[in-house]
Amino acid sequence: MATTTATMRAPATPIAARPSQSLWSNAWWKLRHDRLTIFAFCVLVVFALLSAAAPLFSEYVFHYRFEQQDLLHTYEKPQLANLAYLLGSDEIGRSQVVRLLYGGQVSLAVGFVAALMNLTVGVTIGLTAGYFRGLIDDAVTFVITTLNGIPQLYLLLIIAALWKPGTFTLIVVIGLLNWTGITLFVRGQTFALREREFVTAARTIGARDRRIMFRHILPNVLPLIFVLAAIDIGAIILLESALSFLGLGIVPPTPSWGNMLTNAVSYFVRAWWLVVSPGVMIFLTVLCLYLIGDGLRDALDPRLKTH
Amino acid sequence: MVFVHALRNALIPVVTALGGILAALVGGALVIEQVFSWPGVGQFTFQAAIAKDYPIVQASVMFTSTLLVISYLLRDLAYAIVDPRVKVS
Repeated sequence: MATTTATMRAPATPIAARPSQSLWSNAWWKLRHDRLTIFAFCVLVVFALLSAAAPLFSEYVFHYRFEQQDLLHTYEKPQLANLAYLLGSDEIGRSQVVRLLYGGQVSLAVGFVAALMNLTVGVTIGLTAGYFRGLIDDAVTFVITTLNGIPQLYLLLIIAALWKPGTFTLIVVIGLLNWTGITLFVRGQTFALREREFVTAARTIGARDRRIMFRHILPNVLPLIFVLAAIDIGAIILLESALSFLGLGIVPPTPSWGNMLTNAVSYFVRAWWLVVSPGVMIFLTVLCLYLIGDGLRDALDPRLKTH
Repeated sequence: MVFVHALRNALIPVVTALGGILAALVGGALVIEQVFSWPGVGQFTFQAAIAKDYPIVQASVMFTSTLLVISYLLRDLAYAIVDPRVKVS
């Protein structure tokens, strides 16, 4: 009894006045006060902008095209004297910094587009399987366990061997193969949510299945989907790097952070900067995405206390 | 105390992660074998895939998949050891 009255009493020091808020505005408020997440987001935006502006940089700042070769200036060390060799040059005298910018275009595009495809496929299938259960769920579970039973890299290896590799193929293949984790997660959440009172309430007033799925269940899963998306993009960028490194992803004239590493490994002793710069870019991008995912999770979880 | 009571309960999520880790390792081995040019299953499969030698690719995918399925089975059996609520039936 004593504890009940104690909690009933108004707190001695009033909590900073804040009007009542929805989940989204609350999350946004928390996110704005999370310096690390904002910083990670800014870094990512800067990378994206730099990559998007790669043609401008190559023309007006570095005066060097990404496929331009200069056999008289191979293995140039990183230097300030010639801006095109800011991050050194590779074995056929291509400018590392320009290629890094163009590579960012490809790597980031693959990451974001493939993740978007993953999410669309994964969430739709997960919701359907979790909501309808029965035969549909059995079929989906069967497909997922089969896909999960084969090591992912091997699956991609087969597909890359069957079709001509390229940016488009890579996006489609990764986008259509990587959705199992998201689906399993959404399916599990839907299982729990469909038994809740608000779904029963919606059904009693005559809401159709589709409306219940997308209007009542999906918004409850959505916060966690954002987190999964951030982590997914990071994973895809790593996967793209691994595939391009093996020579099955992006084909050489087009640079990507992954295929810039492919050759660089053989010249590591002679030209370490060729390995370091794409490696650092991949590392930073993926780290930022994980940090954003972490921050989003903290912001979107209403059970966590506001600091 | 710690080892008997805490470790046992802490092991449950560890066991869950274990199955996924092996899946990642098998794929990762392919890249590692390529980097250090170790003659392993990964490199073997990779070269076969490049040369469009499909029977070899099929066989090694079969092999690694079996490996994975066995590891998932072992993981599920390990659950029964770690978590007394799970019974092998």
